[in-house]
Amino acid sequence: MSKRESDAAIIEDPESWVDHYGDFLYRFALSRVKDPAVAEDLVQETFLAALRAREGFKGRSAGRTWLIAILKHKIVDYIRKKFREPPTDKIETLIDIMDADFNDSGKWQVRPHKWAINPGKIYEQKEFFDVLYHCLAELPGRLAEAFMLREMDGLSTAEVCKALDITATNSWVMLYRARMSLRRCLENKWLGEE
Amino acid sequence: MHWMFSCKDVSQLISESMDRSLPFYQRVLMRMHLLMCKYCSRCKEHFEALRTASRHEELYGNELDASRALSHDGKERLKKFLKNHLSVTS
Repeated sequence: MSKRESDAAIIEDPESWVDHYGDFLYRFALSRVKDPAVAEDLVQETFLAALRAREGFKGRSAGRTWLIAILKHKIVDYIRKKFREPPTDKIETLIDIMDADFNDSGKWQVRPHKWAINPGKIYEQKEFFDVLYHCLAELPGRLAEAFMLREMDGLSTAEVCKALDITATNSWVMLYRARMSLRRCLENKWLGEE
Repeated sequence: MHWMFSCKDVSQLISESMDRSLPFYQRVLMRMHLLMCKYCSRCKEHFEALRTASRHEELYGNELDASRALSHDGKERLKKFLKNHLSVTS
C-alpha cells in the first residue's frame, strides 16, 4: 500500500486517528497555546471538524497535513476569542492603514526592514510563529480566511475563490491586503530591526 | 499603471505573482524594479517568509519531547468522543 493509500485508509477510519495523529496534533497545538488542556481541546475540535469534512479529503494530501491545516484554523480561532480580538470586518479601515504604507507617488512611507530571520530556518524561530498567529487573529475575518486557505491549506487560487464565492481579481486583492497587513503587523510586533 | 512601476504597484505584483502567473511585461518590469529597490526586495522576502511559515508543519527541539504527548486518559477521552460522534454522523 502506498503512503497515500494508507493515509486515505486511516482517514476512512476515524477511530484510529487518535493513535495515528493524536500526539503529533497535540504537540503542534501545545507549541502554540502552551496550556495542555487547551491543546487537548483543540485536537478534539480538529477531529470533529475533520469528521464532518472527511468526504472532501480524497487523499490529495497526506492525512497529517490535512489535519494540521484544520488545527491551524482552530488555533487562530482560539487566539481570537481568548484575546478578544474581534475580527474587524471593516476592510475600509484596513485600506486606510494600507494607504499609509505608501506616499502619493507610490513610494514606501515606512520602509520594510530587514527581518532578523533566516528563511531556511524559519522553523526555529518560535517567536515568529507566536506573533504570526496573533497577527492572523487580528486580521479582518474574510482576509484571514482567504490567507489561511491559500497559504496554510495550500489551496489553489481557484479553490479559494470557490470556497469564499469571490472572483479571481477579488482574491488577488484580498490576498495582497492580507499579506501587507501581516507583514506590517509582524514588523511592528517583533521582527523589525533597522 | 505607468510603464515604470511604483513601489506600491510592485508590492501588488509581488503578491499577485504568488497566486497567478503574471503577463510577460509585468514580470519583466517587476524584476527590473526589484533589482534596483531593496525595500521591495525585502517586501518580497517577507511575503515568501509568510508562505513558508504558514505551510510549515514540522516541530523542532523541545517541541518533540516525549513528555509532550497526550495522557492515557486524554487519548481515551478523544477516542470515546470520536466514537460517539461517529455513531451520530454515520
